Amino acid sequence: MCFKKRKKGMALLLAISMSMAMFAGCGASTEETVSIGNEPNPSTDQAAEAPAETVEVSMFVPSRLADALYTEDTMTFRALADKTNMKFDIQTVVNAEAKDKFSVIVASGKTPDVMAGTLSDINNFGMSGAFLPLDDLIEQYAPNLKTYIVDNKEVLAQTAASDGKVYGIPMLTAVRTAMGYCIRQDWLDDLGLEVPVTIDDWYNTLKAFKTHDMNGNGAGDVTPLVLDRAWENYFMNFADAWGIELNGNNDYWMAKDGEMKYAPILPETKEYLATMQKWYEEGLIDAEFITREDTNNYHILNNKAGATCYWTGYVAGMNSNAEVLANDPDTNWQVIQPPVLTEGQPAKTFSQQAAVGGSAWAISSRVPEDKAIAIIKMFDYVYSDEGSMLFNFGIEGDSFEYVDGVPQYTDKVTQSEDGLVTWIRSNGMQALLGMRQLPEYEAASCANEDVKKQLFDYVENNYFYDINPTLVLTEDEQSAYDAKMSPIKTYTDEELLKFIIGTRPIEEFDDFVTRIKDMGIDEMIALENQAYGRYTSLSK
Amino acid sequence: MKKTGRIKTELHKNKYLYLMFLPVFVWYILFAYVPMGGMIIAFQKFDIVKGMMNSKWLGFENFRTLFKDPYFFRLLKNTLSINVFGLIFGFPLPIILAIAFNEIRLKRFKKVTQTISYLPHFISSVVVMSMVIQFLSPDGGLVNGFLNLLGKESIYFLQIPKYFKTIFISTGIWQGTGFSAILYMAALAGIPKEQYEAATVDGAGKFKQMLYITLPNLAPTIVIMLLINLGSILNVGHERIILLYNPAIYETADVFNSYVYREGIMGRRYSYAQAVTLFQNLVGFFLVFSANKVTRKLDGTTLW
Repeated sequence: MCFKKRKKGMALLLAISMSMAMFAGCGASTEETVSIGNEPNPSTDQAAEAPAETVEVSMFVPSRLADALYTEDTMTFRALADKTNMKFDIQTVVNAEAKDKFSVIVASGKTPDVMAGTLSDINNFGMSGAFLPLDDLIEQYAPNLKTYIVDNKEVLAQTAASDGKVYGIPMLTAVRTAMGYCIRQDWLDDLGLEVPVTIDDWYNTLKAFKTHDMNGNGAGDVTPLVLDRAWENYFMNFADAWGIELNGNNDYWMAKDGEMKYAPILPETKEYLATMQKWYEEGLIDAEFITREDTNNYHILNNKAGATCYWTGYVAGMNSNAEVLANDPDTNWQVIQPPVLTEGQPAKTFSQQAAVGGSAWAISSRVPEDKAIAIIKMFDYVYSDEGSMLFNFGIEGDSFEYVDGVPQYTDKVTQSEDGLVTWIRSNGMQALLGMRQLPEYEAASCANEDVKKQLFDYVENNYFYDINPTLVLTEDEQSAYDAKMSPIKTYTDEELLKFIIGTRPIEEFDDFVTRIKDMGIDEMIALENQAYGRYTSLSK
Repeated sequence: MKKTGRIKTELHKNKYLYLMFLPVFVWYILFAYVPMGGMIIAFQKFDIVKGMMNSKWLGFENFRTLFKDPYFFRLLKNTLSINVFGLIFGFPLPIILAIAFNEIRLKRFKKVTQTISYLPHFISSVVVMSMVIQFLSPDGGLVNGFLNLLGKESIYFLQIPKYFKTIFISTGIWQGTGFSAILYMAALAGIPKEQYEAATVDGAGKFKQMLYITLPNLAPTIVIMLLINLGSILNVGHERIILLYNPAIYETADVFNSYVYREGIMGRRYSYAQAVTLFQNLVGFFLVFSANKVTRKLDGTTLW
């Protein structure tokens, strides 16, 4: 993405011509189908009924890791091809480059049979005619896809494009837990403090972290609260206590009282910002949170963080990190309930993984019908219990085995040099395509019981608000939305930060709201509510 | 007939020169002129799947959206001021540096310092900007460490809008001056020694020589460089901006190219992005064209 804008046309054309050349190369080598001499696994799985003749399927799938790009021989893809009697021709780039590559391939007009990418891209390009609508195919040939997608209204609403059709088979997530409120329990114990519950408790706790010498480097060395803007751009978690979500990645939209609202102009936002401004001014929040990259690693590894809002599993895992323990062997990060305003109010957070993850795969509209049927059956196999085991745990007896009926990774995986996660990702498990992540995978990949307990803590206590939907707009709505919403979003991004770091006084909040109204937010709210109407009618 | 004959002998006479020129010629046709057709998407609602031929025609709609954008004037102001101040402070420096290098008599010293001066050009912008962020950090950064030594409070440079342009322009100067000087060094090497010798005989000192020999000889190069710079008056490379800015300082840091990057590339509004770019380049072209006319009248130096 680093070419100069001025030369965009040129670079795009260059890329297109290159990819065309690539496809031309593929087309030329129409070798005869050679069936692979592997014995088909005996299986009773209906959906996995393999076609009699080997089907050649070309596909584009982004790889998880740059130094382990997928090939036809990657463990899961090899097994999938054998199982479904297919011969894959895999093109790939590392995931970070996949979004660009995806549009270049689509623009070339010569898409491979199967394309994996983000669900929103697949839906947009699908409605323009690049991908097949899958509804009928699912109905006829794919019982597993029907069960997990079509019959689950929540999933269907999050999967379908704005025309109501399904173009992509999405990845389903297993654990709702995303970012949790994590705190140094050992420091709370040192100071004889209770776990903070209300926003006032939090203030007092953070203040105590600030004024006491927590890590032996003198008072004030610790950052009481770490917020991450530069990496995740999801850092206004404490708005949870006021019952609102300020999420720039979703253009700050939220569903409240049965309609879509623009969260930044709600009165709750003013109170939230006033609180943050006070915390920032008193040094309770990292003074450089706007610009500091990799802030959680920096603070946690260096024994400088008192509390953070971050991926729960990651923070819990830090308790057994060698660098962390070298700095302070008593380090004990614990996830605690989300903050509330008054005691007794139910604690909830908006940060969560949607049932439907961002990745999906789809069938090119150039694929003839009989091949499309074979492919949808292959998609269905990946969604079956057996296929799910393959993409979560790999091959039984090789990468995992059942211990008391519970799948466990073998030593080969857990003891591997680069660690479990890297091994899994190198071998094509957890690939970014239409698969089901299993909760067993999340549990089995936890380093120990404590991490597992923390990871599932929010799930077991149901500390979740209803998720705020990312709505899908029609083509015409989208044009109107882009033209008006971009400046509003830019303005909101800027001013929210200014309020937090105090370069704009909170008294000016009403001016901020007026300005946003002048920029036409009401029209945008109306648009969003139209889309919300479609969304809710799908999920009924 | 006569004309083609002349071209033939010309081609024959300089065939190796033309052979060397051929790849460049092909490159320009393929990668500079052919893609210009793609500018058409600025007038369309470009749809990747449908392609350039079948996308909906919008006329000037994308341009209207740009001019109606509440941030249009801020983008214009930021882009212009970064470039104008960049020119005022950054443009004379390579000239001065080149003249200074030219006066150094110690060959070794000259070579070493020159190499040091253009090395920063070869450091990736990503690295340079990370260094800038580190230096300016209030938490152990070099600059604030110095301020603290003087008994001053730390300043959060990258969160306060008024500092951005200074930081950005001076970083650019640090990175680019040495390399830009190479061009002037080359021009200086072409000045006949006899002129200086004659001046010395006439009793002109170093400063007088610079004023009456060096500068007039450099003038055509300077004018051409200025003209080229004018062409990109509405362009500020987005890479360096997006590595350094954040929403709290968009007010002074957001320029056309970073805006195009956010809206056009990240937001997939290709047509709109192309419209903005076309606008930038038209303004640039107009400026170069008129400035060229002016300089032609003044002293005959022209780009074409």
